[in-house]
Amino acid sequence: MIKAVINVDSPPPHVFNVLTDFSRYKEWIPGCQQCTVTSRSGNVTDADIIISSMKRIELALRFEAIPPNVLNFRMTRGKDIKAYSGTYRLMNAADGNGTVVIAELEIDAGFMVPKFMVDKISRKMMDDTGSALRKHIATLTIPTAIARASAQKAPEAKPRRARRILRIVKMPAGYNVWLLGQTFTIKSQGS
Amino acid sequence: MGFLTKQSAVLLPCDPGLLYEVLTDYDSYAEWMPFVARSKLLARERDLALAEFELLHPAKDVFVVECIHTKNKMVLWRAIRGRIPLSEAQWDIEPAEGGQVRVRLTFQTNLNWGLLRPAYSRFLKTAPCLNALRMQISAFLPELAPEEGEKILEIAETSEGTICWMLGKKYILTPAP
Repeated sequence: MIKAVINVDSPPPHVFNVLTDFSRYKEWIPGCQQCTVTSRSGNVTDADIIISSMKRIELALRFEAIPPNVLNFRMTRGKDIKAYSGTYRLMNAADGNGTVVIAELEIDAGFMVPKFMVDKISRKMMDDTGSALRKHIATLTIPTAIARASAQKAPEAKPRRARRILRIVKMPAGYNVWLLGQTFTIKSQGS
Repeated sequence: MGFLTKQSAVLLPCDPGLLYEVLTDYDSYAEWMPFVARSKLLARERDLALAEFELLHPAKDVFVVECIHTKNKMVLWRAIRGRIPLSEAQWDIEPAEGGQVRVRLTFQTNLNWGLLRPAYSRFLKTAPCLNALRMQISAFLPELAPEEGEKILEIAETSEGTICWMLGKKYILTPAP
């Protein structure tokens, strides 16, 4: 399983809408030549996809959306690879600006292709998809309702414990200096 | 791929809650963890967090970890992105005798050529990390300082801002413009 983190400068509901707009995948996913939705039932969508990168791959994917922040997918049919599955998980960015997407991808290309090579290709695919997602979203207008709702969510201020930096204490024999976790003793002259 | 495991433990005179708070404060690791130039919480949701670390050496070397938390007991990192040959880091917290806590740090590193880079091998040493953690923890424990003397000067970061006590008077410091 290869994981990647994608920072997107757009609120999670908008990113989720883009990721679940399967019919527009070929507009932005690198190498996606075709994405045809074949059936839809509730949050489950089946689609036929053709990806052309190092080789042309035809597969049927089943997407299972768990609104508002998870999208799972797995291969249901395909001759070119043995298995293809993954997840997009969306989280609010801690600084209040946009979305952090954790993407997971697992490809089983069969015994003919070494795993390290599959992992390397998977990693590149995810990095390229992340860049493409950022670029694609930058070209879209965020729906007003989503923009308004996300603008109201300010990041919570984090309460902090008091943290000592420096302390100097005068002792009978001199000074005790505590600085960032280390203690130093300065003896008075003649003591 | 093979793994190499390194482990150290230390006893700290604090409650598990403080330790857990320090270990899950991902914006503050650069204050104390050796060879960390910058650290940032990317996202947090219940017991899961994502954090990004930038190392001092090699400059601009960034890695991202997903963090799984068990409150006051365990903090587990799994590396997601970056060149550093770190697979997992696990901080285990358990109560020990005398009201102390024992914290055990385990680094699981990938056995690859990256381990030969001095910058990575320096960072991936458990004992210096725990020593740095001990110093950071002591910054939150006023009782560690000697109480029998006269406090001349103390500077602390608080929710009010940076506070300076000097010869019994309190000052609130503001950054220069």
